[in-house]
Amino acid sequence: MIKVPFVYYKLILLINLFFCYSVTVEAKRPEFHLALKNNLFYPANLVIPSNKKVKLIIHNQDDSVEEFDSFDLNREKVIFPNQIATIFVGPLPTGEYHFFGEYHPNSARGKVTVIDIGVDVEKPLLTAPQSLNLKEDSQYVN
Amino acid sequence: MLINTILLFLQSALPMFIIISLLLLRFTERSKSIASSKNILIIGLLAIILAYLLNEYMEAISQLFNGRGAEFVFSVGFFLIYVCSAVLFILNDKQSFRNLKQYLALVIFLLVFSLNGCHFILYLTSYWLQLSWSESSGVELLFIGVILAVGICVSIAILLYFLLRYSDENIHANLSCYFLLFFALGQLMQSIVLLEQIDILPLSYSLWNTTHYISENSELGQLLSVLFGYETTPSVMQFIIYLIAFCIPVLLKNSKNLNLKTSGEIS
Repeated sequence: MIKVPFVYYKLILLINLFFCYSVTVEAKRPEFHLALKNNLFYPANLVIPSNKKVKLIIHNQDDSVEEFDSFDLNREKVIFPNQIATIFVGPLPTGEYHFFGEYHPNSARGKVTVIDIGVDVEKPLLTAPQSLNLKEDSQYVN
Repeated sequence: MLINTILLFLQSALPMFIIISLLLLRFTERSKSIASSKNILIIGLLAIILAYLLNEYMEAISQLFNGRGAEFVFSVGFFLIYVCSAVLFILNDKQSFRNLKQYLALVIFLLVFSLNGCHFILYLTSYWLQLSWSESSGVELLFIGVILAVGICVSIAILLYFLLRYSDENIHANLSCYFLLFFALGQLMQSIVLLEQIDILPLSYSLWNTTHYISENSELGQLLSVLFGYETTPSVMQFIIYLIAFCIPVLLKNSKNLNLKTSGEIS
């Protein structure tokens, strides 16, 4: 019989506290929206604040499955047709972070531009998906 | 399309080929029963069924827990692969745990096959559904891509098998065992990334960025990612967990007290 040292119980408790803290602070994340239509990402350039964890909501408006993939952001998420997926990114230093649709890598491409701005975490930078402007330009609404 | 298929296949299928090499290497000579054709057939069929079911219900699973279902299922799966591999690594030299080791090997095989297989089935079916039969070039590219990727995976698996077999006999007896642990750490890293992605584990800054040297999007990057969990932008959390997850099994394996207890020298 292998005896588990007391220090392991402390470690498990610490890990549990870690998870609890992470879940409770989730509601405060600023939200950003990204749409996928005709195998193109809108906006193709998403601007987010530096040094903040943000919630990225991706709406697949196509009738086919797509996989949001970014090696720069270290994120990968399968999004089913006409469904919404949520991922968290950051905190990131300023710069450009490219992403693409793994099933349509030639057309579904975009980038997240991280800039230095003062952002109130209670006020999301972008509005709800219905007000999303389907333009390929950079989108940033304060 | 061709390169994308090869990369996706490497990402999804290479872990399956690598784990076959590693498990065959560790178990065919020492305990022949695990490699019996009956066992392989049953587990192979079970893995295919599980991958198919996961693929079928992936859409429903992904909507569970506020859209976090897929991440939960996959992170638990990858974590189990790590746990089973770590236990296998610790008990490698212990003859008294032969049955347990066999079951652990089967669980690892089943999990690696179903989790990675489901991802590739999803890609193939979704791409296939989008293609019309008139687009013969797309079908051809998909077919050629799969053939080339299978060739690459089989070549790497065979090369790895003989390389590790040679190194086990001539360099260090447990080298392939350490290789299994590194493979498991790669799977654990995938689990960590998924938990960070859904905000279960706290996100942190990347420690470094090696995209300019070896991109994760390249064939070499994919290979290194499968072999030992290579990341171009690892977070602090990933780095700490990687070190802990490596050190604990190594310390336990080399622990004199544990060795004595498992060999039955002390009660």
